[in-house]
Order: sequence, then structure tokens, then C-alpha cells
Amino acid sequence: MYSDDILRYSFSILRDYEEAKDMVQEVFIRHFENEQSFKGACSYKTWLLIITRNLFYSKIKSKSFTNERVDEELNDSVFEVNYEINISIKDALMKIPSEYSELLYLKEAEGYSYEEISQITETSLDNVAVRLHRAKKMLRKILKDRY
Amino acid sequence: MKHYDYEISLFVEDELPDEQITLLNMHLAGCKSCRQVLSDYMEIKNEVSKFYKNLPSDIQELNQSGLSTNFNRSIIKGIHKNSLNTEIKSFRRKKFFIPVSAAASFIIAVLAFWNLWHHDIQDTFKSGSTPAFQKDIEQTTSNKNTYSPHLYAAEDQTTRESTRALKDQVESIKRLKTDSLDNNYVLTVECFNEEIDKAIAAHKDRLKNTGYLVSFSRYSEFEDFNAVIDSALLKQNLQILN
Repeated sequence: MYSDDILRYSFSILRDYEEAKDMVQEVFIRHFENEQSFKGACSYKTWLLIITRNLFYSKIKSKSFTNERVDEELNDSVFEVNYEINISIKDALMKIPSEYSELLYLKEAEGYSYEEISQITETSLDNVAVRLHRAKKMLRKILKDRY
Repeated sequence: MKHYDYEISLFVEDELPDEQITLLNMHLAGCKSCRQVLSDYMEIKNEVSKFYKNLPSDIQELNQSGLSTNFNRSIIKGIHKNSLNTEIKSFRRKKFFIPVSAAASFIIAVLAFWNLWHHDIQDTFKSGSTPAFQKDIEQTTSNKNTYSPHLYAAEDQTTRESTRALKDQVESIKRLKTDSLDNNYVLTVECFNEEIDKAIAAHKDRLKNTGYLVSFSRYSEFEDFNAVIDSALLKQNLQILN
């Protein structure tokens, strides 16, 4: 039912269609395995997105990736971007950290409030606001030649 | 001069408190740079929204190009593959059982018929009369419920074999169910007796509701077929809709 939403959300994190599709499968598998644990504290869709997110991070851990979460201390200069003329929004989204594109997806495509996003991402409201601001700031930087 | 970059970000998301909106508006009136930021953030918001919302159409394109054909189905398959992994492995080891058992039954039937024919030919040479199997056919045509001793003899032999095969088929219902997503599997149930035909016809309708493709043909007498298939379905906890 929400496979498209999960696929889009997965894509916003992974930025790869094939991996996103695999992720959707795994999300549904996990969903069926843990269906009884759904307590109704959030909407069903939100719950599926939380599963997606948890799965993503558990995969990263299992692969021993160095998942450096972007936090308040992140300096924009840490993330090197190549300034290109006429860069598309898609390319720009590929250039920012997945933690940012994920938030942008939840906010702009899904229309979740900061509170709902903080629930999904298990972070504070302020953190969501700050990171979304940085995401837009970063996109603006990347796209600035276009504007 | 202080700029309101962060507040503008909140403002475009409708997350800026009302009391701060007034302050922001006052600032924007006199700050060209922040107006540009507002314009850019609005543009980014719209483009990001449009990009992600248009993703399903890209997915459809992918479907058309065959990259993700039967996407939802693959999800379901993935679920089954994971949760029923052991059963599927077991099924894969045995999936050739049904065609093999069907072939074995056919060979037994041919051999039985050949024995019967051979016996009748000998009778014909001995007595010079009409072959017994022809009489049987004539008799069967005139009275469908009457079988010749020869046919019974063959039937007894084939019945045992086919009963065993049928039991195995019925026992394999769970495995069929496991992979019935492909709708490739046909549960073939065969019988002779017209009474059993009727009983099976009733089951055919019931089995349809379980999602199986079921075909029936006359083959062997199997008195406790109803009980076997009922218990098999019950064992697998399948819903039978009457």
C-alpha cells in the first residue's frame, strides 16, 4: 500500500533505485515479522518509514560503515561540493548528505511537521529544524549559480 | 546587520512562531539579501517537493523498461522467501515430486492395461469369442456403475498406487500454497466412482476459494478422499469457504 512512499523515502536516503527497491522488500519483510509490535502510537505509514530508517542504519552498522551522523557541529565546509552551472535538483540532492536529503523528503514531499519528523528520525525538534535549514542552505550553495 | 537565514528556513516550512513572523516581515522589507534567501528557499522547497513527488512516474518508467516488473509481487515473494525460507527450500528439493508421481501413475496404468489386454487376447485365442475387455466396455457403456472383474483387478492395483500418489499430493498442499503465488501449480485429483466425482466436484468449488487451480479427472476409487483433503486443509489451517 505504501510501497511507493517507502521507495521514495529509501531513495532519499540511499540515492540509488536498485538499492531502494531492495530496501522496500526488506522493509516489508521486517514489517510482517514485527506487525504485532505496532501499537498505533503513530500512523501506519510513519511506522513503516521508521522501520525503513532503522533498517538503513542497522545495515550501515552491520557493514561497519563509518556513519558519521551530521550533527549541530557540522561545518558546511566539511562537505565539499562541486559547483556546476545548471545543475539539476536531483544532482544537487545527490551531493548533500543522506541525512539531509532524507529530512528534505520527509518535509517537502511527505509534508510531515517538524514534530513528526523528529519522531521518525528520533531526534529533537531543534535538531530537525537546524538540519533542515542546513540542508536548504547547502542546496542553495550548490544551486546558487542557477539562481 | 543581522540576517534571518534560519528564521526564513522555518518560515518557508510554516514552522516559524507567529510572533517572529512580524519581526521577519519587518526585516525582509529592508533587506534585499534576505529576500533573495527567501526566494531561493521557496524555489528549493518547490523543486525538492516536485522531484520526490514525481519519483513514482520514474518508477513506472522503470517498470515499463522491465527493471522492476511485478514490483509489488517481488515484495510479496521476498516476504515469503524470508519467512518461509525453510519450507521453500524443502519444496524446491521436492518440487519434482508431482510430475514424477504423475508419470509413475501413468506408467502403472499403461502396464495394467497392457496386462489386461494381453490376458484378454489369450482368452480370445482360447475361446474364440469376443474379447473380455470389449464385453467390459460394452457392459460399462450400458451400465456405468458396473465394472468387470478384469477392470477391478487393474483398478485394485492402480488404486493403491494412485491413492498413495493422491495422498502425497494432498499432503503437499502446504508446499503448493507456499509457492502458489506463481499460480503454476495444479492439484490434479482423479477418481473413478461417480459418487466420489460428485463429492470432489463439491470440493473443487471449495478449493477454488483457497486459491488453488484444481483439476479433476476420473482415475481411481478413493473412498476417504473427502476426509483426507479435509484433514489436510485443516492441518494447514486453510480457510474453506463453503
